[in-house]
Amino acid sequence: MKPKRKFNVPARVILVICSLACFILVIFSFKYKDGVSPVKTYAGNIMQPMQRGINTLGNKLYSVYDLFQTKKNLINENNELKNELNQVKAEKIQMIEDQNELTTLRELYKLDQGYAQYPKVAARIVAHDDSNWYNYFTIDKGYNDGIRKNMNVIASGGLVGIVSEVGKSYAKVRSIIDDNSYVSGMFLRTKDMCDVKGNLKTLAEGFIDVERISIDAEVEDGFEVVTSYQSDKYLEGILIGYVSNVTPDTNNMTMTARITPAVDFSKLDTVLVITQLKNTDEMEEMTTYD
Amino acid sequence: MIKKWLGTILLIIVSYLLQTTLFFHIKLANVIPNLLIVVTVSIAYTRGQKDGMITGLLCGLLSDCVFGSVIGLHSFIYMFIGYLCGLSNIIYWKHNFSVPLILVGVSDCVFGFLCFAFEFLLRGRLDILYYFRTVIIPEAVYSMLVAIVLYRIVCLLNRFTCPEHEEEDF
Repeated sequence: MKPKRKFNVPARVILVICSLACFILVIFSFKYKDGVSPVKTYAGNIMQPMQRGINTLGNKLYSVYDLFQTKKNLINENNELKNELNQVKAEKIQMIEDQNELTTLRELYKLDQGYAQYPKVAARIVAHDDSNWYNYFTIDKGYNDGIRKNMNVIASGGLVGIVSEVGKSYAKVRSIIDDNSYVSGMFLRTKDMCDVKGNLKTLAEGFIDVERISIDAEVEDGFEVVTSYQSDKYLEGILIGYVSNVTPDTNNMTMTARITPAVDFSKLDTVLVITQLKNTDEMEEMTTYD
Repeated sequence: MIKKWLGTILLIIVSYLLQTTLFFHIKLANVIPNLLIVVTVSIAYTRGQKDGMITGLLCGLLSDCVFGSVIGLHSFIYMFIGYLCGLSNIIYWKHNFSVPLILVGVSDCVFGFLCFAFEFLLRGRLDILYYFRTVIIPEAVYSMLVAIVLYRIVCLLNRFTCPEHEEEDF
């Protein structure tokens, strides 16, 4: 009868204790972001294989439903080919874009390197975040595949997002359409700077926001926005999307616009991770000049 | 005791896995349902405050650790929802499906509102009616739809793992 007493603590007391624990956790994880990341990585490492399993199951069921095909090997082959095709397509689009860039803007920008030359790793999306408020997803490649935090993620020639957390065999990616996302962008033709911000509200219509375009910038609908050289995390010159609806702000110093992302996020299932960090690139250059 | 919590943890993990993978493919009105809320509310309604609270805490911790930015925020919200829904345990009757469904709907709205308040309102996204219309209400409705099935699964789990919470038929 003595051990029974242990469980007779009133619910109210447990609630207060657990609430306090939660508050301490919140404060702790706010202050020591690096301190809690091992816990998250651990949780991710446990969940990822299961998510991958269920996701492949779901994908398989889906492809059966979609294609009305019953032969497993056909589906497998199809998937493999699709992956390969996506990769080749992405590379092709990048090549074409690169070539256009080179021929029209070489003198202006002195860009002799496009992002098609960056080393890339293909990865499959295995899970999405658990709420309707964010746009995060996990991919099936991680630290063991050479993926590190802050690496850029692209798909079919456009920017998808940035790696925000890395586990042993998974990585968490924050897409540019997430409400918290912020990318420093640049108009390809005029070199005017702007900020590309994710927005859940306008995303429903297929747009995200572009802010702080200089009032003097001569931009029109359909202009391409690429990542700028100012950004310290995003490699330069990756296509973000096409602007529309450029309107001056009330302060008469800046303009805002909408941008249609170059990537169709609703149909995304494979992505390419550029395994080159912007900072290390510069570091390497610095060391070679020494 | 051990059997009960093992079953509960398994249910939470399976729900979470489904929520992050399968339900993304079967979005309705561009939202995914919140299965963790459904599990928390169902267990709170069938087993009482203490169990509801602990289930909520586990759900929240899982959500925080795998996809959250700050550990503890979701845990706190889920735990409170579990505690408050546990109050309804005094009117628990096995064949009453309307009470848990209404509780799921209300809880999901409250959860959505709190998420909005903590993550969006503080960053200057003020259009609360828009978010209610496009995210919070559809999510609550979808969760209620899922709850019709999931509540029965929770009842089944209770019957096999903790019959003391089962009420006699009359």
